[in-house]
Amino acid sequence: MPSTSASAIEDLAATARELHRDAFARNGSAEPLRGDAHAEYLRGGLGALPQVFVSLDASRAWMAYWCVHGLAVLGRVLDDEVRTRVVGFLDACVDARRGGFGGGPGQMGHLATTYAATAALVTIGGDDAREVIARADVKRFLMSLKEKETGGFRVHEGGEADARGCYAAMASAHMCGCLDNDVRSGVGAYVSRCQTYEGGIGGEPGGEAHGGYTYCGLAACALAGDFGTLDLENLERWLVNRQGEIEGGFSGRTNKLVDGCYSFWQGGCFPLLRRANDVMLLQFMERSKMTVGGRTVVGSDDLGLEARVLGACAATMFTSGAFESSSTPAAFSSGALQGWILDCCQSDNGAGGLRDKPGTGRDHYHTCYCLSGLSLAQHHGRCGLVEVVGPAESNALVEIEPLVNVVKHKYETWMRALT
Amino acid sequence: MDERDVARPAYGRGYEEDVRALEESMRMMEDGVEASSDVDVHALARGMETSARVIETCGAHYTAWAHRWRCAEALAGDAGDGKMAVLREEAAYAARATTSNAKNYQAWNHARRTMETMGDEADVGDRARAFEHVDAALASDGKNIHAWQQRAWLVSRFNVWDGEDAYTRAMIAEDVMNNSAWNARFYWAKHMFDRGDEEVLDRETAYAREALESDAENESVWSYLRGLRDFAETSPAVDDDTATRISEFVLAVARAAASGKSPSRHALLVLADRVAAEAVRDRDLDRAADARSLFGALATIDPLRANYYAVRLDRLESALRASM
Repeated sequence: MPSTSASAIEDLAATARELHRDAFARNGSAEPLRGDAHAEYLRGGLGALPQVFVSLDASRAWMAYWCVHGLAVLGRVLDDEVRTRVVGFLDACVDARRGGFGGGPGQMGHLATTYAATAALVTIGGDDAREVIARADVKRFLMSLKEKETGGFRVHEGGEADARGCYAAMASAHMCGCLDNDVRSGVGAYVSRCQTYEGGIGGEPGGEAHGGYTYCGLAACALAGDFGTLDLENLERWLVNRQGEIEGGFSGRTNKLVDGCYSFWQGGCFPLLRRANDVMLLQFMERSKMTVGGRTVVGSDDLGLEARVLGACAATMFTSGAFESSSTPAAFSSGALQGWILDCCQSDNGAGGLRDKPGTGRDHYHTCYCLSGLSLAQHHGRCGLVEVVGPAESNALVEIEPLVNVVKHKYETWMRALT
Repeated sequence: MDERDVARPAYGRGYEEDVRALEESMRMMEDGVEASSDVDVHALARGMETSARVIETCGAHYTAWAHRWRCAEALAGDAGDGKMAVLREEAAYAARATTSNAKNYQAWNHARRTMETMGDEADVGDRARAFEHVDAALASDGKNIHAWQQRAWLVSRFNVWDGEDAYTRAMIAEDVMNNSAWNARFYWAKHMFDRGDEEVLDRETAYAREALESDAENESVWSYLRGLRDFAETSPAVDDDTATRISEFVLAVARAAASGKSPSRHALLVLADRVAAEAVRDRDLDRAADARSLFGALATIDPLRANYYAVRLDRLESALRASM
């Protein structure tokens, strides 16, 4: 029986191939980024919204983050009046009883919206933004949701515990200046239990490896400074296999379709892994000693033969400089990822906003994460080099800090002032 | 415009009043909890209704869900013999909410909390209904990650693994690329081994090899084979003979799939991983040359991931330098 997954993947690849071909025919490269249109769409998200958005009534702090951050990545400045209004709104989202931020005024504190509100405030910056955050209250809130036995966090009072909770807690604590041993203890162990045999990280033990949870788990460990027993090489292999050969973007899970939002969730893991390069080297050396020892079964003659046959066609690659050792690239293809976002994820007919994939509608969430992914592909593909696909004057974006997905210079300014 | 209007959706008829009623009900409960421990059954029932009205308009309104749960829990605690009836109604409520949106975190959490609270008092019917809830979601989307996670939790909480072999096998037969089903099957196989089924690793690696016959590039299957092999090699519970047998079997499958005109990149990587590890373990430069050739071959047939193979090669060189 033909696999339904296979035909869906083939259809998307065919669509992407056509879009890439058209873009190349028109521009000699990928599509230009329609920054003005995207900025206008994001500004709209900060105002009053039509009734259909009522399904996001518990995610308004997220909306504020998606729009504020997206605009910052595009290098746009908020009007003073909008800026003040957003700060006031986020202040109204504080759940005074519990200490965190809710999805909207009057709502219960939630870890995810606490992260979103904090990241939005860091992006906005300034004294009034700082004053919204009460460090001791945030810590009290985080500790009230920590599950002491597992090291995990419930996302709200009575809510579910998963790898998202760990990340939102670590990132909020980091940006609020309360990431101490009480908050971080057990996170590495919890995330390690969520890593599956595939290498990616699931939402909870036994769950399937998934892009969102993988970013959350890996970044939570990086922030906590505790990778537990995470197998980073296995994680890396799972990650690189998520990038679609024709499409260029990332899928969230094995044998699923590429989706623009994973440009950040999967793509954001690569700079974090590169920072853990030494850990990976040690893990590789340990594995070489341990898991193979005494159990090797491959005759070197067999393999040598195979390697010679297969290696013959590869010899040119080594000499043509395809493998450069001077500045090690991140393990994904930054060019292919940029091509996917530019050619396949911008709305049709010149409209603003970005999307999951061709044939789906735009939304603020995908706009935020497509732009974040595009920025990190430009700035984190190769150490110390910025690589922009397409015309730089329209396409170049502001660099983000992948640990928290906040524009880097705003993050650095905020953290310097934390005492 | 004022600050309260940031990202504010227009509220349809009644929703604003519902939200206010919810806030009022929460305040009463929170202040009441602090003031006395008396349970006002009618207030709790009203709190549940108010929450449901908010949820009807905004399914992801986690505050309403949390309040509904808090009220239900208090009612159940106060209901004596009626406890299970209250919890059963909540399980049914969560299942109905899932029908309108199967990817709602709150509904799945609500369902799980009812089962947690029932605990060992849950009878055969309760468990069957919990599985029906999951199966209905998986019947319309075989990769619904919430439903699979719920299933994994139910299987492990109530220790009911016996159906998992047939269930995952049927899902895989329907779509051999359904990675969620392979994932669930892996944890079932591991459980079977832990329970003393020593041949499960042999049976499952053979099952995976068969699955490769229809598509030698099916990544789900390669991950499954790697996972079983890693388990065999690293788990202290697996004896050396079994570990060696499984390891050899997986390498043989990889060797077969890596030869021929269009070698499988997943198979080649299984071999490259092993050869690179051996080169470091044995400090063997000839072996390192083999590994380089394999990574080079991979970069040729899979140029999108050339950077990854370069990273692997860098790591190999660093490891060799460090161990020589």
